[in-house]
Amino acid sequence: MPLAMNHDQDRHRLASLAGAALLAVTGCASNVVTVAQRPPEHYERVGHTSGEACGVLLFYSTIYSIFPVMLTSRLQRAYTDALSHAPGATGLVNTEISEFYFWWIVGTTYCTMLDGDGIREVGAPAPPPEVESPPPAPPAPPTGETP
Amino acid sequence: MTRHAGRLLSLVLCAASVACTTHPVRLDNIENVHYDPTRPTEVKSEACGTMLLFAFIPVKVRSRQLRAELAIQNQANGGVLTNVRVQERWLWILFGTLLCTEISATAYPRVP
Repeated sequence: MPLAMNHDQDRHRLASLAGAALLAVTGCASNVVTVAQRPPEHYERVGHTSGEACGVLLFYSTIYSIFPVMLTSRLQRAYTDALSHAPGATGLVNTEISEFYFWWIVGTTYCTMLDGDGIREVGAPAPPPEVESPPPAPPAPPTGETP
Repeated sequence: MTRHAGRLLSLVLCAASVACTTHPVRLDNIENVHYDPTRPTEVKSEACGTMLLFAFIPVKVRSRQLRAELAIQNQANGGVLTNVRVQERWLWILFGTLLCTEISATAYPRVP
């Protein structure tokens, strides 16, 4: 009986080790976020804008740091925040990205900041009105003078 | 003992209150330049940094976005960058956490 218990314990230990190893090599990734689109052919600037969003990596520097809190979505949230500060904007150009982070007892907070110019598509500008050429000048009346 | 504990607590609180900021990195440069829209190429780059020892010691963490952007500009060979996508990754590496930034974009050659 004790032999069977040891076998079970070993199996659980191996399963835990395998799980930990799997978690360690898996890591995490944020969403892929397009933060600077190719502007449409005709667009106008809505104004300079910026957005910020944060997430937390709990229990830093341990295997548990693969459990993020709102970390994977922070880029998308920062982008949405930036657009919301420029009403009507559908995209950003001249985008700058920066980040700050600070440690606090049980984790590290990472914040992403996006700055850029909000733009929106507009219709093609109307062609300039054609300027009508003035009618040809009438021929000068004969003076009636004879040499 | 209490004095040492107090000093340690002060050190920890001091470290906690210090935030680190990365360099702002300009990602696209398509506005007000002439480029050839018929010759797009996809470029991609990644740069990493490490948070060591309970996140007290950042190693190349602050510069990783800048390094990724410089690498992508080199790949673009001086071209125009737009449609820029960013992804962050992190991985536990026993003695710290590896943080990586991947930047991908569409590059167009400049025309005079």
